[in-house]
Order: sequence, then C-alpha cells, then structure tokens
Amino acid sequence: MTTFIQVLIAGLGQGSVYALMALGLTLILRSTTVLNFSHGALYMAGAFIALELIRAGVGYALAVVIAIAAVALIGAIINFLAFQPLLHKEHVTQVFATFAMSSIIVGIVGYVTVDQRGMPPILPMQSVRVGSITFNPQYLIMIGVLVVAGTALALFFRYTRAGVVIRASTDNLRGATLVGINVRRVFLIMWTLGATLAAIAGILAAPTTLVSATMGDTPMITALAAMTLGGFGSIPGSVIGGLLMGLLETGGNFYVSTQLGGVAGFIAVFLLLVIRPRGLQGSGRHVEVRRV
Amino acid sequence: MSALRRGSVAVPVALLIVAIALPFLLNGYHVFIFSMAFAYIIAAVGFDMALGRAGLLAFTGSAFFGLGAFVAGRLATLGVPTELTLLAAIAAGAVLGFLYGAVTVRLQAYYFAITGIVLMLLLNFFYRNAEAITGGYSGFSIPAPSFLLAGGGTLRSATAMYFVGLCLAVPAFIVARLIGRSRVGRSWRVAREAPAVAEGLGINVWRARLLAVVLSSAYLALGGAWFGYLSLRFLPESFMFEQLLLLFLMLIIGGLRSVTGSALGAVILIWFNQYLAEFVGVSDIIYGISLLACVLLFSRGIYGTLSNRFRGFRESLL
Repeated sequence: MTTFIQVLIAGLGQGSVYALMALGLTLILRSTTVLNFSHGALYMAGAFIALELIRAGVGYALAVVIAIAAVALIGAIINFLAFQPLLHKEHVTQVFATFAMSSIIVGIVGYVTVDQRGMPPILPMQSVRVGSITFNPQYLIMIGVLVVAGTALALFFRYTRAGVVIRASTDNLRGATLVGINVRRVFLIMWTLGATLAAIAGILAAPTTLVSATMGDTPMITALAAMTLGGFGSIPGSVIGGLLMGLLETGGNFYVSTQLGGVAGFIAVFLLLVIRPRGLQGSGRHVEVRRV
Repeated sequence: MSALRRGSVAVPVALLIVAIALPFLLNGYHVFIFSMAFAYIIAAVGFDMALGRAGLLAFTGSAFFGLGAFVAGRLATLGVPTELTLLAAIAAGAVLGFLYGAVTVRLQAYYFAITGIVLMLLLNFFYRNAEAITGGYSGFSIPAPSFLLAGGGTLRSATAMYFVGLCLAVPAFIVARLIGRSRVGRSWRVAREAPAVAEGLGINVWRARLLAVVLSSAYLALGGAWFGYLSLRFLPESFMFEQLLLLFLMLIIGGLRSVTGSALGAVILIWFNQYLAEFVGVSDIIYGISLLACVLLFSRGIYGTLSNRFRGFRESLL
C-alpha cells in the first residue's frame, strides 16, 4: 500500500507535467488546427533559460518568471514567423514549419551547451516523509501547478469576455471572423499561452531530470500520446490523458521493468487507436481541416 | 511531340552517363558520399509516396529505414548473401508496412502521424532490449556485402559499393516514376485532394492509402538496408528523430510529390550532412532555417521551383 501511494504520487506528478504539455498543445491545436511540433523545444527552452539565469545568480522566482516570459515571446515569434504566413496552406506544410522552429531552437541551445546539467529543486529537500510514505515534494508542486493552471484556464474561458471570444473563434472560425472578432489576435494569444504552459512544464520537470538540448523530445511525444488517449482536441481529455501517461510510465517502471515504463503508455495508445480510432472521449471534430 | 520524346530520353541518359563516370573522377571519400546518397535516394523516393503523393502525415520514415538496416544487417551477420538480405529487407518493410497500415490508415491526419512516431519508439524499444537478437544499445557490426552473383567475394572498394548503389537506385527510381504516373499514382492524388470525389469515382481510398504505406515502407527498408551496409554498423539510436528530420528535409527541400525532386533532395542533403554533422547544434540550426525557408518561400522545393522557371527543361524530365 505504501509503495502504491508513492508510485501514485510520482505518477500523478509526472503526469501533471505531461498534462500541462498536452494542455498547451491542445489550446494551440484547437484555435489554429496546427499540431505544434516545437512544443518540446519550448519546454526545453523554459528549463534552459531558468537554469542559466539561476547559475548567473538570479533568484529562483525571478529566473522562473523571466524564463516563462521569454518562452511566451518565442511562442509569439513562432506565431508570426512560422504560422500566420502559412495560414491557408495544407497541414503538412504547417507541421513542417513548427518542426523547423523546433530544430532551430534545439540547435541554438545545443550549440551553446553540450552537457546535461541538473537543476536545483524548488524546495531544498529531496524527500518528504508522511507516516510511512516517502516522496519527492517536487511531485506535489507539479500536481499543484496543474490544478492551479487548469482552474485558472477554466475560469478564464468561462467567465471573462476574452475567454468567451476565444472559445467562439475556436468553435467556428469563419463565424467569428464574420462577427468582427480579430482571429489573428486570438492566434497570437493562444500561441503565447501554449508556449507559457510548455515553459512551466519544463521548469517543473527540470529538477527531476537533467537539462539538455534534447530534454523536450520525450515529454513532447508523451504529450501527443496523452492527447490521443484523451481524444485529440479535448481540453479535459488532454489533462486526463497526461495524468494517465504519467501513471502508466511510473507504474510500468515500478511494477514491470524500468525499460517498459517508457513505452507502456505508447503501447496503450496504439491499442486504443486500433479499438477506438478517436481516443477515449474525443470527437475528432477539431482535427478536421478548417479555414478562415 | 517527337522532339519532346527525344528530350525525355536525352536528359536521363546524360545523367546516367555522368553517374557512371563519376567514381572515376572523384576521390574515394566523395565516391562514398555518393554511395550513401543512393541509399537515401531509394528511401526518399519511397517516403514521398506516402508523405507527398498520398498526402499522409507519415512519420514512419525512420522506423522503416531502421527496420531495413536491422533485417538486412542481422541476416548478413549470419552469412546470408546480400541479394537475399536486401530482398528480405524489402519483404520485412512491406509486411510490417501492411500490418501497420491496415490498422492506421483509416485514422485522421494527426492520429496517423502519432502512430508513426509510436512505431518508431516501439521498434527502438525492441532494438535496445532484445539484446540476444539486436545487440542492445550498441547494436552490432554489419559485414561488407557479398553477392552470390559476384561469386560470393566481399565487396570493399568504394567504387564497387557505388555501382551496387547505382544499380539499386536506378530501378527504384524508374519504378517510382512509373507508379507515380500509373492508375495507382493518380488514385493517390485524387484521394489526397478530394477523398469524397475519389469514393465517387469508385476508388477505394483506404486501399489506395494502404498501398502507399506498403510501397513506401518497402522502399524505405531497402534504402535502410543499403545504408546499413555502408555504415558497417547497426546502431538503434540512428533511427530516431534526427533520421526522420533528415528524410523530411530531403522531400521538402528537393520537392514533395516529385520523384526527381526527392532524389535531388537526397543528394543535396547527404552532401550537406557530411560537412555539417561535426558541428553540434549548427547543423540543426541550418536544417531548421532551410526547412522554414522552403515552406515559406519555395513550397514546391528546389526542383519544383527550378522547373517552374524552366518549363521546357521540366517537360523533358517528366
């Protein structure tokens, strides 16, 4: 029981990181119909910038804020440079443009540094003991951030005017354009928001892994798998899928073998797609080609 | 019309003569790079069938390229003659491509893309863990090719490898051209541009896409098999995202949906790669910028852009 709870906490913590990634990918996908293959690079950039600032002597909190802002800016740059000029092009082209941005960002970081480095955790201690259960407090922070970010987004989309406008334009882009919504601004907001979530995920995960140019590959692919599990384009689905992937990975690692953990989730995704081609609860609607 | 006919033979024949003369004009290292380019021409031309012609978001490039290298390489270490290992690689690509495609081509674009990545990861998982068969992380050495037709002796000289590559790439290229212009190629085009129209015309879209996946997988596996012989080693990590990016770049830079364009892209990228690979990071940046420039500025790739400029020249190549 004790180990089960430990595995559960680690799985949910890791899953929260994947959920944040999947959430950002889904927000961008729903508003722009583009699957952002540079999301892993944004995740890495968040962790990398934060670590560089901390090493340069900047305080932890300030470093995190600057890193998130910088990655949000990169998201805006991708929007202007690699998405908006290709608005009316086919999906293959748009996906390649984000792939290209990923390659550029990873290349820049790879050029600056080749080694893998550790990032200090947010809380100084490596483990906390509650009764007989021992766990890394970083996992609780990950879960907490997911809850806060998820709630904030839900409130934003439900109750603020801007949120309603964005929902309108993701539901029906042409209709939104007709009633005078500036959809280009919506694209900008969603790219920035998606990038912000990726940066947060990267910074949260960095203390439990190592910071390197390619650290974003696995979380990116895992987030894609999470979206598939939860149903492409579904916002709650992306969170559920992310948590499931985290649990499958940690559970697979612990109960079967450390080798299986990394692929347990992918096997689940493959089987799911064979049985239910649209994910656990996905409508698949938002994956259709849709143009202004 | 007769002038056009004559032109359509003249250019390929001229290219073939240049290709035959090349190894006698270049030094061994450059001959080797061209041999490598032949492996990639086969792979790129095949990959284009799924990604370009059928318009599928196929992320399968690295998976089947690696599969070919593994199957042919493993059989070669057991002493199987090279003709048979190459055939086995093609068969393995086609069979796995069929099994994979049968369950995935009905999926929508992005789901299909993800299954390609998942397949790549699962194959890599297999290579890394089934150590008894695959040699684990560090893979295994692949012996030099030995053809029964050539009396079973091992081929070692760069020039010999070059000509074998040429003999593999030229038929692969011609068959790809013929497929592209056949009923099958046209059905891919309709299925890509207007699936509903395709159904109306009596084209089975599912079967057309499956065929594209099977053919492209067989091509990729053959290219990968020859790549394995040239690199002398099967390394699981060579068949992940970097390889996929390289294959994507070949098609985008050369020109999607053009056999000549894909082949041109393969040659250009292999030359680039030889000079850039040693600069960590820089190659990624340059690839990224080239890819972005291509999608933003030359959406039809180098070959497509050039051939728009020189229509007559293009007629002669088509």
